[in-house]
Amino acid sequence: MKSRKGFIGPIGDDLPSLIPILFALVIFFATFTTTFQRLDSGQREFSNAISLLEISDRLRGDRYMDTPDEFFELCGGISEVISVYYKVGAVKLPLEQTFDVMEFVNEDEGIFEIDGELLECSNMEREISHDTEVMVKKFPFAFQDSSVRSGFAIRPLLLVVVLWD
Amino acid sequence: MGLKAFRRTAVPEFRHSGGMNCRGQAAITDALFLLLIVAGLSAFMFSISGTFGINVNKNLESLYGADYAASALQTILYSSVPRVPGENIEDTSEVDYLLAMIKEDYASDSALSGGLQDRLRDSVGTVMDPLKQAYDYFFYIYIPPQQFDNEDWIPADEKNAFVFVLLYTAEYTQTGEHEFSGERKTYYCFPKQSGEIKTDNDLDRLLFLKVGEINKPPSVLVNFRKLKEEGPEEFTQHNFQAYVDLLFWPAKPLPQAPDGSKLTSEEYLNCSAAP
Repeated sequence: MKSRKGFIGPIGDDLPSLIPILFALVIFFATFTTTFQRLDSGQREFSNAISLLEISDRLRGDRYMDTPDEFFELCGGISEVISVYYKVGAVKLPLEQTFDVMEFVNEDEGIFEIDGELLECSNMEREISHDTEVMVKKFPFAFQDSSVRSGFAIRPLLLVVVLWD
Repeated sequence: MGLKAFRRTAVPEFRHSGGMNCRGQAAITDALFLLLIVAGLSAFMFSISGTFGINVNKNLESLYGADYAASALQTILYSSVPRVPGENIEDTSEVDYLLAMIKEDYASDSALSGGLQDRLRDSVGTVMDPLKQAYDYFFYIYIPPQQFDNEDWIPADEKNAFVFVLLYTAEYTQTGEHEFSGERKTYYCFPKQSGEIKTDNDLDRLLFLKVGEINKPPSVLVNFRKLKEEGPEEFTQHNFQAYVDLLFWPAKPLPQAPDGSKLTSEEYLNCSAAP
């Protein structure tokens, strides 16, 4: 057997077949890893989108807010059910300038102020950067403003919800 | 039993005829089969990951759109406006509910005055401001015409099914294969009783079903009132149920009317640019 022409050895004889096998293994694990990462990031995205809608629902209720206290009270309950970072704020309508998420989150830019208090709440521990992947959604709601000259006016505000991991 | 082993036992003459080289060929054939299977599996996994969540995303977007439209509609109807036109809500001394003013105005002549139309336009525009860049919208107050059937005391020209119609869109002109240009404007529309749009079903048929993905919240039902004069200083109140709707869709040219004319033309929506 060993003297036969072309025989290299038990492994050497199968050497050419190892190349497609190794190639197949590389393809399989690369695809598997990519697929797994995509599914995982997709799941996280859906979970964040649902959390975002949940936050907005909890805060707006019937889309009418009587007092700033109601806003802060509802805000307080959010952190108990949301496990990602968030910042929520009410912005005056119509928008006075182009909305900038970075400035909104880091510098409270554009957030509506009533009786010296900003209508916002957050569980953020540090500022977001340009690399932070955030999810933003805006929802209008009616706010009963007693700080106007007439003493009572219902004005439209925009609830801006920003979420990130 | 592997393919290689199968060949060795089931086709012994194959081994004898080619010697050790055939064994190598069998091994490489097995490996190529494995590669083929793995390639198919990988393609399947790629397609799964590529399409994963597309429907969920679509549903979430549509949920968000419907939520925004419903919130916007409620916010508009809750809103206050200054009693004196042109004043700012922060500085004015007297405000009123926008909806109350609409009802009050409708009660007199079944139509909204020019000033009130402008305020309603501003209120709708304010709430839709964050979406204005990318979406067209349609706001209307509608009383089903059947409600006027037995109301002979109302003059014919006051039996308008469409109390108020506001359209935000552009007269687009095609500048390239997939390029359009047009200045976005707000239009007041007054569909004529003798025109092609008499009911909200006509709106569905001619506009809403043709603009593609549309965000439509449930209509808000509002009671409008008119006073019928029964005698000297004697009035009876008649209620009409009006539907208030706000719909928006990704900005695009309006569909054409069945006869090829513009949907904003006199025969259809009868629109004119708001001041």
